[in-house]
Amino acid sequence: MQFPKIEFGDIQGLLIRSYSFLPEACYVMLQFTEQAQVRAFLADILPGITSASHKRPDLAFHIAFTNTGISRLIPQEQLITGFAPEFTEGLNTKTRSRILGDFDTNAAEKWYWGGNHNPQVDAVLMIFAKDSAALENKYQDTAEILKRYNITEVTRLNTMNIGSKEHFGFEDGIMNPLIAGVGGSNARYKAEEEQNVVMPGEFILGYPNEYAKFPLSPRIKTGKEDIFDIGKNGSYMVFRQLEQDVKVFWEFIYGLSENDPHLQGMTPELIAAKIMGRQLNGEPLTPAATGDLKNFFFAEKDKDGYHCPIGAHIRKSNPRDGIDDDPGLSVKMVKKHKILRRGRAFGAPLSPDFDPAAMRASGNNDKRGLYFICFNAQINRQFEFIQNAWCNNNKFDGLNDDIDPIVGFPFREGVFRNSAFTIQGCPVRKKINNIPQFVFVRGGAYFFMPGMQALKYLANGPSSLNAVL
Amino acid sequence: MKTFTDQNGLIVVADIDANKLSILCNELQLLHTSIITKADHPFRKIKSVYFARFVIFPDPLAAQPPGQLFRLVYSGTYDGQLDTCLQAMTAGETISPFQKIFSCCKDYDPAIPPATAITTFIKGHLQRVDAYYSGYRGLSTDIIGKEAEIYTHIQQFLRERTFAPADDPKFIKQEIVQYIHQQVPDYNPIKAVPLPYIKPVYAGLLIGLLLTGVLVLAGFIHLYLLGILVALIAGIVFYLRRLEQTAPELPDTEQEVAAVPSLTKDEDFYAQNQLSHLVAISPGRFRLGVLRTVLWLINLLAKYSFNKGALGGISTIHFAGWSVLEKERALLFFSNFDGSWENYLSDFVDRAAVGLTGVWSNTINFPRTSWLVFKGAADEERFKNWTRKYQIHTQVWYSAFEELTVKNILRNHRITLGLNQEMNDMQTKKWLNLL
Repeated sequence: MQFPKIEFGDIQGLLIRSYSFLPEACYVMLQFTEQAQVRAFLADILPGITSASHKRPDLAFHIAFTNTGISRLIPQEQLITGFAPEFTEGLNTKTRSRILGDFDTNAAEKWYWGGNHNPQVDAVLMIFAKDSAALENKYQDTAEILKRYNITEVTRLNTMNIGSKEHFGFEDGIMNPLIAGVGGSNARYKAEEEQNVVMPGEFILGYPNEYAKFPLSPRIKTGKEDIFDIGKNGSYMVFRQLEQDVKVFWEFIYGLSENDPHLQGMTPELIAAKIMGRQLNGEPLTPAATGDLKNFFFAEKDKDGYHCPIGAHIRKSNPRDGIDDDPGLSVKMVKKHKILRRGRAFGAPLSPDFDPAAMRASGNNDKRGLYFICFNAQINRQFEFIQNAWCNNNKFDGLNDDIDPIVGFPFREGVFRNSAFTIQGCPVRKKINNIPQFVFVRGGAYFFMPGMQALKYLANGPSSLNAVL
Repeated sequence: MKTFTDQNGLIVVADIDANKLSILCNELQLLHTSIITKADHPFRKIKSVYFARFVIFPDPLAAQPPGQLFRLVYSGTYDGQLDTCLQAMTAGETISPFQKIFSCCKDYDPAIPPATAITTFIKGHLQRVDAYYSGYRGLSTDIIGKEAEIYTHIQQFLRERTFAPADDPKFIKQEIVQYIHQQVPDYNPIKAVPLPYIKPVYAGLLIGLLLTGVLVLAGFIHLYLLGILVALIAGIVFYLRRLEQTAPELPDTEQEVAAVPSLTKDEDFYAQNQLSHLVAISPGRFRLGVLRTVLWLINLLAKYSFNKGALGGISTIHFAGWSVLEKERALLFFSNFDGSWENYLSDFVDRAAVGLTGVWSNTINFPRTSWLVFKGAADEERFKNWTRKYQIHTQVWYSAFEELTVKNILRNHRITLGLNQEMNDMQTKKWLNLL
């Protein structure tokens, strides 16, 4: 099969790679003032933005805009087709909150940034560097430029390099879709990888998606007949600050292991693994080829959830071939609900070596968690779908009342309610009841990360087009 | 043991008395509030009703939409006889909100006793449901309620009792059966009622065979007859293809952002959701004829081929129906389903695009189709935009079991049927899996 040719030179690099070789990073939230100054600022930083044609940059620098930021630069009446409704509406609004479960303990009123009571965020700058010195250097340079153009830094979010694990202690970042075409138009994939190969139009505007359609893209009227596709080679970026209560997680797990008569004989590590769907070292619970953490199938070896429970986090957020009784169709459908994850951790681990017993016992109250960042071409069909129809849905795949124990929120009730988790098995299922909330939403926004041409347009206005088109 | 109880769809359409429109809206709002706040409301007393809704809509053919709201729809699904349902609706205090609502319609006769007036009114304004699907035919509201209760008891039992990995599945089942007999002594085991069933593949083959049969027969009678038939079919196909190429689509510029909040504000209150959708049928007798044929076919398939809890692979639909209204110029679609709108519409696109395109390609502004059933709904973003564009606000929606999904209902049914069945080890293991 011929895959579409990807225009790497016009795509911001973060879309294509996660920069594991640049372990230090920070995100700077901006607020704009005057349009002319924003344009000048963009023109100034534009040469420093990293395109995807740099395979291994020493430093990466990116920019993405919220709806308020975009509308500062493009008047509404110029748009022939608008940006996606979810993006235009914004993450902190009522409809989005309902879909995502941002109520009560997650409510946008209580966020550190991006919420209804926080200063407006118009854009984010993202810096990735080899070491903290290089990061600090670039940040200082950038801060100077910001000052020059009278742009306010709303907040600076610092990531923490905690290795390959996430804060609860599980290996993380194992699965990410393979974008068809990124390995070349004639790239070949192993048979077992196929379920994870996804058309570029699912993540980058301007390419065919899994429906063999081009995702709707914002377009600008630039002259009588001329239209500029400002969405091309850009992508919608979801950014959510997720705080993890690691101590409560392990306290709860240990409590179950020690006191719950139904779970006798199960170690804390095993109970946690059942909830996650993977062992702490990343090995899937569903039987898979030795050493292969990525390619395994639920339908054939684990239909009833005896190994990986049906409500486990990795099964809810990526059901693979397991939905209903048609593995082939399930894979096809799941491909339409994929995201490119680009998040990074913040805060120091509760225990330096992620030892569960130590994390349970620790008295350290520092904030820690994940800056969840992902790319998708249609927020409603991809990110929001996964959160809403799978993670938050207590009825997922025939279950009775099991929301995702890690990131789920019972959105229908509007308040957090302890839900249940079913561990399918012989001779009869076990149930964990009254699961507390472990992950809390503390901030976030929907961004659009434009392609390089589009950035040029935003910086120079319509005049830039004559030069490039 | 109970006999087979079938489910019926009801659609009543009537003209609103323009002077009473604001009273009507107010009454509907009151009823809506009493339902979502779980206050005492009349539907609780109509035992045979699974779902009910009130919708008021403007003229779908208005030149300048949206026009004045001018029609009221009362629609629902009930088991058993219509008369039984109407008796419950008009008994005692229950009648009051219905009387207030229906008396805002033009043809309602306030001079006669309300119970008679409502019965006459409803029977006088019944519309045919042209294609109707039910997710669990044969399960009365009684059965669903009872079986949900039994499931809850089993959950409680498993919370109290612990079993060791070595315990015999048959022993566990026996314990559960005993517990249920104690907890629900009045429980009357029901028997599964087999429905006539043809595999969808065979149904398709059958239709193909019938068509070929007709042609062959025509050929035997006279070759000219065969020629005429073939020419007729070719003509229809040719004409359809031409219409398809020129049918206007909803432009991409028209993303219905503004209309959506008024619809979404009533979504996602329960495990179930609803959709009301009204769109004008494409002009001309031809499109209407094609639409009627497709609906007739879907109705047959829904009854005999898709009666195992899934409609063309979609296992989240409780009840759904299409009805041709407005002097055959508009198509109404009502659905009661599980999960979110986005989930439901994605299922439409991924699993049932062909069938849905077959229906809606005969209505206006539908995404470009090909050979009647292809493309169309498979154009995911445009299809979803189109659906939102013609979705109408449901003023009142009631569900008797709002937290039970189709899968939950069918699972409870299998569990309950199994309680009284002798099982071997494998069957017992599978039965325990359902819990």
